[in-house]
Amino acid sequence: MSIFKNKTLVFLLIILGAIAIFIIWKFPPEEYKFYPKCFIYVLTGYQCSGCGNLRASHAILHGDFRTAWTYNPSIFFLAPYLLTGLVLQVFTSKSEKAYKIFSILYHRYALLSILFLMILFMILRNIYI
Amino acid sequence: MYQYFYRKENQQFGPFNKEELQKENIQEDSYVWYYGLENWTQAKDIPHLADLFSNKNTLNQENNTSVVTPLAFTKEKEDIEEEVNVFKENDTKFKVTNINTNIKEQASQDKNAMPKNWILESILIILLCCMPLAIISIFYGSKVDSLYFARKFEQAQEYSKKAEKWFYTAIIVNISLIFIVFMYYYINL
Repeated sequence: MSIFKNKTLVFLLIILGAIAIFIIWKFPPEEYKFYPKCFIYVLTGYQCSGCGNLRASHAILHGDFRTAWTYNPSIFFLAPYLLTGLVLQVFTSKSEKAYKIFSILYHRYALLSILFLMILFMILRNIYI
Repeated sequence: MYQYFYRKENQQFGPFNKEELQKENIQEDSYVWYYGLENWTQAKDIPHLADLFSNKNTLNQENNTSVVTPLAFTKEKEDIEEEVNVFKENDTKFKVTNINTNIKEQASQDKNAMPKNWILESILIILLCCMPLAIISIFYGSKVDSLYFARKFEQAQEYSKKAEKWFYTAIIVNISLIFIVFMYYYINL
């Protein structure tokens, strides 16, 4: 049912996540060139809704929330919401409470309205910033 | 009328109304839930489902003692024999079709599990990782739930598989695109 079908996959994902967090914490994305560029920004010159997430997460890992907000304010709402959703999805088959919370908070209309809002955010940030 | 769901081996089946739930041959200790119920509860603890189990035995008895409609006495013997033969044929046919439907129902029970819609994962990679191709996966995934609740189980399954396929192709295509752009950028430096 879920991506996390076996324990080795979960273990691998946790290790990869830890390495990624360490790299983002250690090397600031503005100075180092090895980070992948957003291909939408490189090709069209417009910022997509996810642009600035790397710089913002670097700032968050150093406790600098104000500069993180200027890079990409959406990460403060989206990252906790979506990542807890991913974790909660694993437990839906085990506990009834997790299933109930998941079916309300991550209903398809909630997710689709978030996508719609983020498309609006992408248009507005290209006009005003 | 309540819309019931029940769970079996970590898979959810439903929605059913009460008559359909009766056919699903659930046990007294299997977990049932309907809108308005706080938690999944065992079927024997739900008061208005209690008659579902007590009725089962009596229903079977009624079926066994079903009364054969009396034939008209005024007809001649041959006619009666013919009619009896037709009746027997129909009866055996009825039995065969009944068995077939039972087998089909048992096979479809596994298919009736709620298929996964890949909306959460695709939105995650669109918004956090700049992978806009996954919007095709959302297009298919958003139809899975409504198809499932309209009891079109096979179509729901099909759309779920399509959504899964497009989710992974979006990841692969986008990573390769990012890699190409990265190489181009790196060479130009």
